[in-house]
Amino acid sequence: MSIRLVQVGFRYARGLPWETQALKNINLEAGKNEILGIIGPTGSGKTTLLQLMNGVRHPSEGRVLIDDQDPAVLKGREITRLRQKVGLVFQSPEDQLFANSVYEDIAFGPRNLGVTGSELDHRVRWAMEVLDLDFEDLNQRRPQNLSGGQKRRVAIAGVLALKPEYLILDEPTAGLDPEGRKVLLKLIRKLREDLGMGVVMVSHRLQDIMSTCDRVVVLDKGEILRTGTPREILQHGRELIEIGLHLPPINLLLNELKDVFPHLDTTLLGPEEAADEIDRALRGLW
Amino acid sequence: MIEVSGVSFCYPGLESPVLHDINLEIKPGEFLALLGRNGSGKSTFTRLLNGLLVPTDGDVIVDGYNTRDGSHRLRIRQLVGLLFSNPDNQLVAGIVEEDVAFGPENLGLPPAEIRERVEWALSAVGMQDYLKHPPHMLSGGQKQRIAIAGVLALEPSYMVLDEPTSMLDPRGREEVLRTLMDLNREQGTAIIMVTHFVEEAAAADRVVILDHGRVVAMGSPLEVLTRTDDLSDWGLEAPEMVLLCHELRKRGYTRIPMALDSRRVAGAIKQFSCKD
Ligand SMILES: Nc1ncnc2c1ncn2[C@@H]1O[C@H](COP(=O)(O)OP(=O)(O)OP(=O)(O)O)[C@@H](O)[C@H]1O
Ligand SMILES: Nc1ncnc2c1ncn2[C@@H]1O[C@H](COP(=O)(O)OP(=O)(O)OP(=O)(O)O)[C@@H](O)[C@H]1O
Ligand SMILES: [Mg+2]
Ligand SMILES: [Mg+2]
Repeated sequence: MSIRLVQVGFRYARGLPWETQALKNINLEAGKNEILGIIGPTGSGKTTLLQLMNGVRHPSEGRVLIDDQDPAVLKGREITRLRQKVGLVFQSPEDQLFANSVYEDIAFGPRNLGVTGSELDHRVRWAMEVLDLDFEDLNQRRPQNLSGGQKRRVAIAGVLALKPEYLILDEPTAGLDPEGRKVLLKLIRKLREDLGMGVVMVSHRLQDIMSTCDRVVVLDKGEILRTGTPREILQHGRELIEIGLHLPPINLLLNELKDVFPHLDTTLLGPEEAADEIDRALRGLW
Repeated sequence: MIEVSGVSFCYPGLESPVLHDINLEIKPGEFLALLGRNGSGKSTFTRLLNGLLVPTDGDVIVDGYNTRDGSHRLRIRQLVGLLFSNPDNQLVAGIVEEDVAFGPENLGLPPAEIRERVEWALSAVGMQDYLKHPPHMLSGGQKQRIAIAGVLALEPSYMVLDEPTSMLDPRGREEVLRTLMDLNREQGTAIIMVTHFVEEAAAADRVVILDHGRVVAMGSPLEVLTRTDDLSDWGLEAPEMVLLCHELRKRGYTRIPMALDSRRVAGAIKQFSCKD
């Protein structure tokens, strides 16, 4: 069970003078029970790739298969059913809140799938709770009158309440405070562990990707530049900088120490691991 | 100077106020970063500074004009420029130059003066070569700089920016931050910036932290951003460099100075290795 992209290419504005090749030669598989991270500079095709993965867009070349089914050839109810499997949180989801209350906004998706009664209520409460949204305080508020970060949480809750098998997140931590970011990243890992969900996420914050994902894909100019574990990707720090990405501050520091300590491991994550390594280097213990 | 004294604010229909008794003076030419968890009241506070919202209690006084007094509304809007996070929602015209001219035209300025201001504002943000460009063909960072130019063309003394970089990639974010720092240094424009990036707050002269509608900390970035335990109580997090300095001190390197910048920390660590 997976989302598979085979020799996929995508062009915007086909046949027009401003035709743009947003993706080419993409071969990629995102499994259940896996957290896949996608990084790349602005315009590298990340959003386009995510939209192909849930079938809101179809490839210009190649095929996308969701659990072996091709959304481009399915019709009607079948396509709806397939899309339910794959929940997508858009890059600026706040723009899509429209109901009169937070409760109704989150309930909208599952209700459309035929979920009703106590199951529906349960899902709305669960989604609000896991995103740290106080139910009593907020469920009857108008979404338009929430703070930026609250809106973003409601938008994510609306997709979670669908209980999708795959969850696709485009810059989900933008606008969240540091605590909210930690809560969300922890939740993503928990969804994978407890429900076996497959997660694909895009983020400009490399710390978030490296600390959360099992596997990372680097996109540049519409092509896959590299795939690997976070540590493998961080071994190519210079390459990431060259294509316009910013290393997490800790890794930037470790790279700066490299001229004095040539054997220093620059792929470590977080202040504790880094401090241990620097300590070892300063004592000359290798 | 913007004097915020005893300010509380309550949205109609909400029982409890979202800002409580805020007291703060913003000096001309200073660079202030405003941090706080989601829902702590940052955006509400920014809207009080230019009179878009009026306090329920207390006063906001901009260079002597009270925002309560409707007859000063235009004057205050001109003194205090306000900018939001999404550049797409702020660009109105089909080409860059018209977009930047939009504000000054509304002030009824003579065309020659408008031209001058547009050119000046665009060069202040490093976008003078894009006069005839359609804004939607620009990158996010470039669009946000155009939006900043649009506010600058009104020649405000204070620029208030609500998460101006949250929609941008790291490169665009750096571009915008550098633009703001240059404006602050070279034109003396005061900058009041809301952000969730602690690393950006490190560039400010002063950091103010809101929690549940109250000011809970105020001081230089080094003073405030090194209070690691307090920061997590407020839903925030110290910069990674500060956390690393703490970890190194715990491991016996007590003379490692607290610093916010990776180059400074790297320098200090290298000195240690020389001594040994
Ligand atoms: N609707 C569209 N019409 C035409 N071209 C588009 C459209 N959307 C995106 N593009 C172009 O396709 C390419 C890939 O865009 P995409 O949005 O997938 O990039 P991204 O990696 O998500 O960037 P960002 O980090 O800025 O979100 C870019 O060159 C972009 O300009
Ligand atoms: N128009 C409104 N009507 C009613 N309540 C509002 C309105 N706008 C904001 N609020 C509430 O006021 C409180 C403060 O919101 P504000 O937008 O100022 O927070 P913020 O600090 O900017 O948060 P964020 O980091 O999420 O952007 C929140 O609880 C929010 O729900
Ligand atoms: Mg994108
Ligand atoms: Mg806000």
